Amino acid sequence: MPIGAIWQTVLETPLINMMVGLTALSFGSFGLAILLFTLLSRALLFPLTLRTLNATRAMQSIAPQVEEIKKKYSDPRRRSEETMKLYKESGVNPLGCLGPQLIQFPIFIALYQVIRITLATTPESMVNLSHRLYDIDVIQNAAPLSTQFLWIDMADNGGPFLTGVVFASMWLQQRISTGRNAATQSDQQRQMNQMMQWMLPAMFAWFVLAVPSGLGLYWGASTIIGIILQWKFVGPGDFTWASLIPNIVRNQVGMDRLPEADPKKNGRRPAASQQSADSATETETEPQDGNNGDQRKNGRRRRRSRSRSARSSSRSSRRRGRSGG
Amino acid sequence: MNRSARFFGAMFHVKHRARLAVALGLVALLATGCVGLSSPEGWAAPAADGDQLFAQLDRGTISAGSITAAGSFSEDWRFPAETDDLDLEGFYATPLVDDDTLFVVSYDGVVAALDTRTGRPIWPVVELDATVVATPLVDGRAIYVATEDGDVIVLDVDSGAEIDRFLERDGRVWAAPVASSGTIFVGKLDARELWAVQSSSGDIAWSQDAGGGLSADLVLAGDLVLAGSLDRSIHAFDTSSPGAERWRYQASGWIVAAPLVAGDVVYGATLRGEVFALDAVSGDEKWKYTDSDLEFRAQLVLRNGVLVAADRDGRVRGLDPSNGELRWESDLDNAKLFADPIVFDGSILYLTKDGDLLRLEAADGAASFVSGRGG
Repeated sequence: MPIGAIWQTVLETPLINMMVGLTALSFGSFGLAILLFTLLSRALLFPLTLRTLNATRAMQSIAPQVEEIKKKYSDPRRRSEETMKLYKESGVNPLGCLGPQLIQFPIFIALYQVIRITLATTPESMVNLSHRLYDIDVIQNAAPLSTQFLWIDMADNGGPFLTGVVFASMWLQQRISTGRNAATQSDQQRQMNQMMQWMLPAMFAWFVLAVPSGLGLYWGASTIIGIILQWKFVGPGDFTWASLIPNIVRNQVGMDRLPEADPKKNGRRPAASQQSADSATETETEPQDGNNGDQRKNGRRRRRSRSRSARSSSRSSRRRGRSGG
Repeated sequence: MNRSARFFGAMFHVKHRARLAVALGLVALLATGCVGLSSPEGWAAPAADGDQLFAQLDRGTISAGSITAAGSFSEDWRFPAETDDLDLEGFYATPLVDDDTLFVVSYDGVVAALDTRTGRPIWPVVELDATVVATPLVDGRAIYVATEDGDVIVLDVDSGAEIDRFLERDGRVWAAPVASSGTIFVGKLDARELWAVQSSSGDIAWSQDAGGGLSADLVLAGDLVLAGSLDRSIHAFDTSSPGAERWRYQASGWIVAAPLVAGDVVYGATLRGEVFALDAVSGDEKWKYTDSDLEFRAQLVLRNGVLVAADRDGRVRGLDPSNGELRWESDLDNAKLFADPIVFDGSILYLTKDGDLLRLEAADGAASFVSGRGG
């Protein structure tokens, strides 16, 4: 059986019939049917979502230990090994949070096809819809489905309202997730998360502009439900609504400034943390345990680096001397 | 961590982030390139005037010409011409011939009146602000164009000027309207109703619930309006007020093919492979033929004592019109038959979705392509 036929039989056709049936139950409103479908799919995925949220909570609980590892090992490979070991010992899967997102993707793609087929905006698609519907009176008699929901045409491309909702909800979800896990992430991960916080919502907002509004409605509703679940079961982490007020506004109204989200963003650190990092470096270069090979290697590397730096500096002064002479 | 390591680390981060941003951008572009709403292709039936034929052989273009003795299509002219600055989306509405004028309405709402011999526009094309699927109706000196916005726009046949606009309500119209004794009957798809409108004033005389969306072209049978519906029924409404439903025949598939009336018999077909004959007065079933693998979108045609039914995938069946017995069957590979057929030069002529003309003999189902393939 070709993969296209499997996709149609297992996912697409049942989903088409489900959406048509839900529309019939939703007083003929396809928009309400999409919201109902979103609730149903989130309810079905709830055990998985809950597992993910628990994993997130577990990540949060081992955050201090992860931070310890980061301070203790400067070698990225060793640090990564130790972190993974800790994850394993604590029964935490750092990729666990991808589960519900990954499962939602096939639904998202199938729903795109389903909306195109069920709304039957052209005569061809109406004829094509006929042989996809089960021989059940409620489903057969539901077509043609009304494309109008509130002021939105479900068959038309997403407008500014839905685009805004999807962008804002995805941004908020990313903000809650990444803010909470900041302590457990490497600098690279943190930078990546900061970028994803903007890039993912932007990408999906772009999709919403290009696909039928029905899909945008699904994605927006699904993300909002995700935020509610996250808030309820894990909490908002370090996120507060007040943190949405930018420093420029805070300065004007006399509020306390927000701390820098990423002190390394501009290649500098606050004085206090620089000091603590330096003292940590000192600890690493002077290993207390003579058997700690990792720290010894780091010490050697640093000494080599210092001598290279000194040679480079003396070469520079020679060049300056020549040019001056 | 020393400065150079931090520097290279930052370089890596910047490079990594840029790569990720580019990758995400590409995914977004690729995904949006793959999406798009269904594009209308058009399945306008061909029309004939004597030996001249008008058909959408290429999407968005109506070709006029004749079939030569050698069996190929010889094009006289086409609309829009290459010099016309028009790029049309396709035609669902069947071209209408009225004396020496051919009226065509494209899906994107371009209405043109053309000289049948030369193809020259009789008046400048009119661009409506709506899409059109339904075949228009020419009645007296007016042409009635029902749009997907739910309007019926009345144009002057001689000038193309808009005379009136009525029934301005939401809900698409896909079914071709019909007229009888000063009343225009309009079938609504989304509103699932049949409307009767006074052609002189545009006033609504009455409306009736059609159970399901009306997608099939409306047909008059004496004092009845026959409406094939997506509620899998044919409804027979009285043409006179208040449009009482005289009878209703329940089938098991959607009815998108216009019913065929021959004497006191109504023939119909469904998208679930049913072909049936009904008594035109009572709606009683005379016989029914079923092949659930077939889907009939095109209207049935009666020729030389054979009722011919063509499925959308090119599987054609010849039935005995008196009892529904199968006389012959013919499977035409790759011929998508959505458009209603016409009888032309003694044969049944189908226009396939790919723009090929197909001649079919009612006696035995022998088929030959006229243009495109084998033309």
